[in-house]
Amino acid sequence: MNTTGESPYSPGRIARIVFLAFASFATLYPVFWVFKMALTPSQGFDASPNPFPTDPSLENFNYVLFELPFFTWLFNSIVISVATTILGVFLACTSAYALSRFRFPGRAPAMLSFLVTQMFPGVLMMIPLYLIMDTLGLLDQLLGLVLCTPRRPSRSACGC
Amino acid sequence: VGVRAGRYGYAAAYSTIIFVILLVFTITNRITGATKGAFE
Repeated sequence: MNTTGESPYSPGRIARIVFLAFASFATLYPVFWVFKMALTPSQGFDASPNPFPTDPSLENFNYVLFELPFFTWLFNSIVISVATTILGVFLACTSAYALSRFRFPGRAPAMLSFLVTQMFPGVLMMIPLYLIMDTLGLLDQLLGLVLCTPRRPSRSACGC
Repeated sequence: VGVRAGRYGYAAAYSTIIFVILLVFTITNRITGATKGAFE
């Protein structure tokens, strides 16, 4: 609906529509291109600009869904995300409640440590975490990953 | 899944499946309003 009182055929409006159509096409083109690659039976890198498949086939989907352990991967992802969320929310709620409601020795350093630990990138913890998980015998296990993901108290406490 | 081995078709199919799963999840969430309370 035109609410600006501008004519529907004014040059400015047409220019805006053309620009938005072009921007939409530029945004959606890579997505269509991935769909085309998925529906094309060959495995080669197709550099043709046509975003629609010429000879569509579901062969790639059949391979990914039924010849690879796709549903095992999906199940693992669901287990890890649910467990990580429960653990993270539990840590965040309990620590946030204690820090906001009670005054106790060490409260200020604890708050400061939450702030300071956010200043370091998570990748810094990669090797220490690997060594800890190795010591605990949790390498290559779902439990190890669940314990690693909400590992930073600062992130858990602030809910991010 | 397939990019490292040059199997772009498998990689594209895998990403399309993930995209569809997330799309269905989002639409279901919108319809049922399951997470609406989190934004109020």
